[in-house]
Parts: sequence; C-alpha cells; structure tokens
Amino acid sequence: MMNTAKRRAETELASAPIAVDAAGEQAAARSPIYVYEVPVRICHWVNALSIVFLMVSGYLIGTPPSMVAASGKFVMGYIRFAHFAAAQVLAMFFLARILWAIFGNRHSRQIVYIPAHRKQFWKDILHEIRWYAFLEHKPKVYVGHNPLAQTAMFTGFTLLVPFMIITGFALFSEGAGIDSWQHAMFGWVFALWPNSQDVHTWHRLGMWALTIFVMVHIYAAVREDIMSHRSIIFSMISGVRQCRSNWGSGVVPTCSKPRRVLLLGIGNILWADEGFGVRAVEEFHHRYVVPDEVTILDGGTQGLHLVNYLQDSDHLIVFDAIDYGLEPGQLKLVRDEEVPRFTGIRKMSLHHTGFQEVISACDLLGHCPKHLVLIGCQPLDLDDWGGPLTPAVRNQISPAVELARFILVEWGVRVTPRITPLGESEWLLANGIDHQRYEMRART
Amino acid sequence: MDLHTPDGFKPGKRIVVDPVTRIEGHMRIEANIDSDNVIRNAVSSGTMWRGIEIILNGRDPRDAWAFTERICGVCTGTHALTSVRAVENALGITIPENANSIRNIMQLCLQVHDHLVHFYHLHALDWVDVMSALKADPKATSVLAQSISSWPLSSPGYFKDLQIRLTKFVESGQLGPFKYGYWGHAAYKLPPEANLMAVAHYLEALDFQKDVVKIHAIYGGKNPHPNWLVGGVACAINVDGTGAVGAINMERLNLVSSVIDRCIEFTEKVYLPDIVAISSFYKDWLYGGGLSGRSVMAYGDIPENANDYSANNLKLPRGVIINGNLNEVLPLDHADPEQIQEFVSHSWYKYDDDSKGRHPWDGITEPNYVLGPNAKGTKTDIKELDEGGKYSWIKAPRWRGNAVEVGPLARFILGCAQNKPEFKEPTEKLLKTLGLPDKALFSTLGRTAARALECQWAANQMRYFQDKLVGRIKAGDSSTANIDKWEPESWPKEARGYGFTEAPRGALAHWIKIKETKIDNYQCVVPTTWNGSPRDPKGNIGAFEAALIETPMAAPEQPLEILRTIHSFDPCLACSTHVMSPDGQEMAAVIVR
Repeated sequence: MMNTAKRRAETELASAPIAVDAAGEQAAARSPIYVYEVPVRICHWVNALSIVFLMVSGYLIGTPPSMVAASGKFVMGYIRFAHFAAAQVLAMFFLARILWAIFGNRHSRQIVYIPAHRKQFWKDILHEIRWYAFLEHKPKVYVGHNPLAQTAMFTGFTLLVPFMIITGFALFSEGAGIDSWQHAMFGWVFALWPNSQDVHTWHRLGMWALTIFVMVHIYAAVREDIMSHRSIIFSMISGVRQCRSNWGSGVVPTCSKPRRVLLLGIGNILWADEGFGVRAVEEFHHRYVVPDEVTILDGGTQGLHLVNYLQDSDHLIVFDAIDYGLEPGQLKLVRDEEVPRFTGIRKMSLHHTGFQEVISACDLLGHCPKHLVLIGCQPLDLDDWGGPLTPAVRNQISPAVELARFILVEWGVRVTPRITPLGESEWLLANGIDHQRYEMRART
Repeated sequence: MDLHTPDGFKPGKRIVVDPVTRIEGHMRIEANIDSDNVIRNAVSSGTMWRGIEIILNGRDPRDAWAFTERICGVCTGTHALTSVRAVENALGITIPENANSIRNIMQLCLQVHDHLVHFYHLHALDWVDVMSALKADPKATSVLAQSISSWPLSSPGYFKDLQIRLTKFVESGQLGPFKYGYWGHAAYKLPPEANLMAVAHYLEALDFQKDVVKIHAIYGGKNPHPNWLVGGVACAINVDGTGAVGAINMERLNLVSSVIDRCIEFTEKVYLPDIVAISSFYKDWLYGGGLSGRSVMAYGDIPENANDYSANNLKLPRGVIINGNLNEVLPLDHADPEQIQEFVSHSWYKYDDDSKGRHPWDGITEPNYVLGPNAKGTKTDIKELDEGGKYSWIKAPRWRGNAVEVGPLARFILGCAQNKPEFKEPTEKLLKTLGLPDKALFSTLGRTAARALECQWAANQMRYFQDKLVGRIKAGDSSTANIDKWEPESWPKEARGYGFTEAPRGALAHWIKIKETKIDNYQCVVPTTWNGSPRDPKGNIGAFEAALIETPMAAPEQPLEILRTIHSFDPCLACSTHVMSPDGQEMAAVIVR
C-alpha cells in the first residue's frame, strides 16, 4: 500500500507543472502545505496594523488639519503619542520577525534576501511580470513567495521599514534630547542630513513609498488568491497554503490542480459494432472502481457536447470503433499525436461531427488533454440496424477494458476490482439499453 | 416553379455529392445542371434508421425514450421528450406544471444550442471564407465589429491575436482544421474583415456552447444523455439543498439563470449582428426557397400550461400552409389517418400497395433495396441513382398528399401568417434592416436568418419559463412528476398515442401502440424525413430537391451552393458516422459526369 501511494505521489509530482521557489522547495502536488508559522503570522498582522496606524497618524503630523491646530486642545499630542507608540511596537515586531528568519522554517527566510546570483530567479521574475500583466495564461506554482513577491517583500518591507525606524527614531531623538538612547543609537542620521527638515522629508517620502507597497501588496494578494487558485489571504491566518479546484473563473488553474482523467466510450449502440466504445466503457464501469479524479463517460454520438469534458481533462482514454483496415475485432492502440483530429468542412450535416472534430475543436480552443489514448476496435458490421455486437468485436471488450486498466495504472491511477455489483441506478446505461437487456431481444 | 418531378428535362451534366461514410448512400445529392450551370433537377437520397419498431417492439414503453435518445447525438433530448409525450398521450398521463416548465427549458436550450452550433460550426463556413480572414486588417475588423454590435471582444489586438492563432493552425498542415473547405470559391462574397470577425465568433461560439449544455446537465440530471421520465421530469426539486445528490437547489437554479442571460446576450450581440452583416453581402443570392414559399408545416411546441397541446396553448406556431396561401393556416391532427401519411414508392421499403400511403400508427418498415432500371453502378457501389425508381432510405411523408417544408423558417412563416407579433415583428425588422422584400424570406438565406431569430426567441423564452419555474417553487410547489399511472397494472389492455415537438430542425412526432403493457408498434417521423424526402407516387418533390432547383453554380466540381442550401435545413441523419480512420479523409466526394 505504502509503495503504491508513494508511486502515485511521485507520478503526480512528475505530471503537475511545478516551479522551484527561491527556498528551493518544489510545490508538492498535494496540498495543503503548512507555510507560515505562528510567529510569522503574528508579526505580519501586528506589523500590518502598526504600519496603517503609523501612516495615518504620520500623515496628520505632517499635514495637521486646521481644526486640531487650535491651542488649548491636546488632539495633536494624542496623535503624536499614538504615532510613537505604534512605532515602538513596529520596531519590536520587526526585530522579532527578522530574528524568526533565523529560527523559523525556510519560508520565513524568504523575505530577508534576494537570490540575485541565480539566473533562474531572474527568468522567473520575468515570467511573473508577464503573469501579472496578463500576458501569461498560467502561473508557475510556488509554495512560498514567488520571485517577484519576494523582491517586493525584500525592498518594500525588509529594507524600507528599517529606514523608517531609523529616521523615525532619529527625529524622535530631537525631542528626547541628546542624552536619550534614541540619540545615542540613531543620532548619526544627522551626520548624513544635517538639516533635520531633510530627515523629515525623507521620512515622509518613506511613508508614501510604504503606502504604495501596501496597495500593491494587497492587490497582489487578492489577485493571486483569485487567479492562481491558491489560498493567499487566508494562509496568513491559518498558515496553510491550499489549492483550490477550478470553480468559478475560466482561468486554467495549475497549482496542483487535481489531475483529471476521462475514460470515454463513444459510438451508436443501435448500429451493431458501432456500439463497441460505449459497451467497453460500460463494462469497465461494472468491473472496476476508480478514484474521483477519473470520470467514466458514455459519450454516445454526442459530438461537440463532449468538448467540455475533454477540456476538463489532462488524460483521456477513448474506446471507439475505428477503421484502420484491420481484421474485424482487432484492437489498435493509438497515442497522443497519432490520434486523428480534423474538421470536416464538407460534411453534409452536424451529424457528421466525428470524434476527430471534437479533438480538433479542443485544439482550436487550446485545451486538448495532454495525454490521449485511443483504444480502437476494427468493426465487422456497422450496417445492422438494431443488431448486436458481432462476436469478433464482443470478444474484444474484455481485452480492451484490461488495456485501459493497464494504461490507467501506468498513469498512476489506482484501479480496484469492484466487489459489490452496481445497483441499477448506478449503471452507465439503464432503462433497457444496458448491454444485456438491449441484446436480449424481447420478441424474436 | 414547378414543384413536381421536373419533366421535359434534357439531362446535362450530373453532379454527385456523396459523403464518404461506411454506410452506403448516407446522404447523397445528385443534381443535373444545364449548360449555364443552373440546377434543373435534384435528387436527394439518405440513410435514415430502418424503423425504430424493429428495436422497440415488445419493450417497456417507459423505456422507449432511452432508445430513441440514441437515434441521434445532436437531437437526443428532443427525441426523448417526444417519446415520453407519446407514451403519456397513449396512457392519459398528465404532468405537473413544474415538469412542463423544465421540459420547455430543456427543449428551448436544445434550440439555442443547436442553432448556435449549427450556424457557427457548420453553416457559417458556407458563407465565410476562413482563408480570406488571414488577409484581413485587424484594425478595420475592429471598426467593423464595433459598428454592428456592442459585444466587447472587438479590439484590434483581439483580432490580431486571433489572426496569428489562425495562421498557426492553417500552417500546421495536416492538422489544419479547415483543410477541406472550398476556400477562394467564387460564391464567397464577404470582405476579409467580415470573414475574420466571423471566424472569431466561430471560436467564441465553440467555447460558449459548452456552457449552454450545462442547463441540460442540471435539469436532465446527467449529461451528455439526460434522464427523462414518463409522467414528468427526472430531477427532484429541493431548494433547501438537503435533498438527494443532484436535486435542484438554489445554487443550480441560479447557475441556469446566469447561463440563460448569457445565451440572450450572445444571441443578440453576436449571432444576430453576424447574420445581418453576412446577409448584407449576399442580398443577390436569394436562391434555395424551394417549398418554403408554397407549403410549410409546424406541429407547434412549448406549451404555456402543462398537458394542453392545442394550438392556442403552444408558443411555437402550429398548422399547415399549402399552395402558397398565406391567408389560411390549416389545422392539423396527428391522429387523423387521412392527414399524415408516409409513402414508399421511391423509398427502399415495400408496402402491400406502394401507391398508397400509411398513417404512422400502421407504419411498417420492410426493406426493399432495389435500384431503378436507369441506375448506374451496383447496389454496393452506386454511380448514379435512378430517381424514377426507388432511390432513398428515407420515406416520403405527406400532409394530405402535400410535400411540405418544416423547420425554423416554416415556423416563422406560420407565425407571421398567424399575425403573432413575437414572430412577425423581428422578421419584418430584419428584412427592413437589410432592405429586402418579404419574399426574400423564402430562400436559403431566409432559412438561415429565421434560425437566428428563433434562437433569440428561444433564449428569451427560456428566461420566461425559468422565472415561471422559480416563481412556482417559491410558492411552495416542488412537484416534478406524476406517478399515478407508473405501474403497468393501471394501464388499459390496448392503447395508442402520439407525441410531438418542434425539434431545432423541424416538426418531429412519434406514434406508439401499446398492447398488454408492451410496445406493439412505434414510428418516428423526423424533420429530415419531411425535408429530405424522395418523390411520392404523385411526383411531388421534397423540400431539399425543390430548394436546389434553379440554383446557379459557380463551379460545379466544387458544389458549395448545394452544400449551402442543404446545410440551411440543418439536416438530421442517423448518427453512425464517427468511425475514425487514420488519414482524415474528406467528408464528401464529388463527382461530375
């Protein structure tokens, strides 16, 4: 059991589009993943709150509204107090956050450096820029921050916040006096800008830079939460990164989206050997149990109705009667590019929409399953209206079903024999058109 | 125009258009052209199934829908609906109002889906030259698109991008999806920009149609073969969301509602403007009217209230017009043995007396595959049919001996003749926009336009019935099925009935006879049996044949005009042709002799 599970995990890893993030971790095909530890999350929210507080109070200190300027009121004093208090909190928690980068997991370290020496990093940044500019269809998958986010966090937080702390405490020391610890620690700032007004200006400029950072940060978090189908916002509360399925938007999710396999039978059961595909998939359903990732579908002669099923699949197995000029009943396995696809423009009617056109339509729409397998059987008689499968073709159902099982296992899908027979409501074809009753002609 | 067997015709060149399929004569058109390349005689031959009674006799009537649903992959739902109606009619079973609304929504959804897909995926390419789109200027295309519609996908960048994608597909050679078109044919009239716009909408429609069928998945419980039920519909309503898996809850009702809104928007902002834009370049190509100006028929469908199938209660028109008398819409009765009859004098079947017709309740399907004396070739390899003898697997149904056309155009002509504003106003508006006279409606283009107008009508009717359904559910009515007469013990010893619908491509009816709880006879007369029928003993020709006569051809070896007119009927043939072969063969062989 262990081995099977492991092998499956490996296969899933191999098949999902995965990027290595800066911490060197691959996004595993499974989610959720625990990313943000408790201290990281506490620091994040305390810092966020402090920064908002500081920006508002700082803005008012720099540009006092006229109503608070009247003497005899202490409003301005309260605002200044709030600013200083929040500043001390931010300073402490910033320090705590940087210290945690030493003790915490690898994701906690992401914001304190940029792996500028790695070529791949810059390539990935370029990809991210394109992704954010809506020029890429699919995001790369990262567990922690993507390279662009990492760069933004590094400059907008890890560099900018100390700058604000240093200039802020230096300005505070002007009031606290030259014997204060603030002056002792940060007085050197005035060696850079002897004019204290310059320090004020830089500090205020820093506030605007932080404002921009906050806006971008929130936009990116919300956007990625939606676009990359991963939990971005909630993971800063739960600590867990979760991948969602592709409900809602039409964007193709890639973040460890569960792989979808479609097992499809096509054909017309009313025209003898034409029914091979449908009967094969019906038999498979009776014989085997497959996990939820596999959809078993009787496609009939549905043509374009099947496009969305194909679009939703990464792996596709089709049972069908095919004419390769072989001996009747001979099975033929065709893979990927060899599966015929074309659109017959000169067809007389939509009823000539063959399966090759369904594939062609998926191609046109840019969402064809990556892995295609056609299990075909050479028919003997397609002209016997209402007739049964010919023995040559009927005898190939079992081998075709086993072939499909073999391919599913090769793809890492767990296929187990069905022990309890299906109830009629679970049959793929019911109401008298199941294989046995259909061929048991009531009046002969 | 003479709508009888063209006589006195001196055979010129004979064109044979035959799709390459495993079944001989699947859908075959032969036409004689004169020295000016004008069609003077047309012969339509098709393979229909060989009588569903062969399969159904002796089976449980409650299962009949599941079999008839398999006749065809495009019309599934509509056959199933017709079948349950026939059984209900025979056994006197009534259905709840909710079931009526849901059935109507499913049927209308099929109309919308089929019309959209038929036009964009098949028929548009008879008017639109894909290869010419490669030469279009994306900027000018954008200007054109924005001038006809407020549809947002119309920027120069969008069309440029599309053109690049298209070029890639065309250059991919063997995989090029458009490789078998008659590109560059003289009968294509659109400028490159209109072609590019239409190709963009081709892809958008292909993408959008996936959402349309979600309605079927929800109300049918299962897709792509929805479940149907004698006595109602197979889906339960449970708005609390606590019911069985698959029950209709608020979330699903809302999903249906949003899809309906998008259907209305797509039809009004893309499909109809495209029809206007394309038609404006083909105003002088008004061939293909055939029977439409003379004899049309519709059974009517979409009952406002449940269980009442009389003309007044049906939202789609019901009745017959013959001999071009638009002032008189004749009533029709499916049970009257004198009205609807099928003839086989030119079909590969035999009756006791081939000169007489049979009402479907007494219908028989006994093959008699013999070629006429003047046919060329052999039974397994027909070179040329003899329309003087038997020449088609399709029977020839007639209404009181008249050949009639069925389909969206027939419905709109009947709606206009009955002065129904919901049909008359949009038709008049469209004709006025194009600056065409009323009689322009009787053409291939008119058939195509009527389909688009009907798509719009159907999308809006879906909204109506969805609101009606939600209203009733809110009022506490969650009943979807009546099982009072489910058990065969409650049935009479013998019963017979009929059910009808308006399928996307025309009037469809099933006739059933039940004896001792089993099916005793079952006959389907489908729209393409009416339109694609061969001649009858009196020499009346069917709608396909009539529509082809007098059409001039630009290049007979590339019979684009024939395909264009035949496609405009949205013909339905037995679906059995998807068998794959390795080399992406051509779908139709054309021989000119």
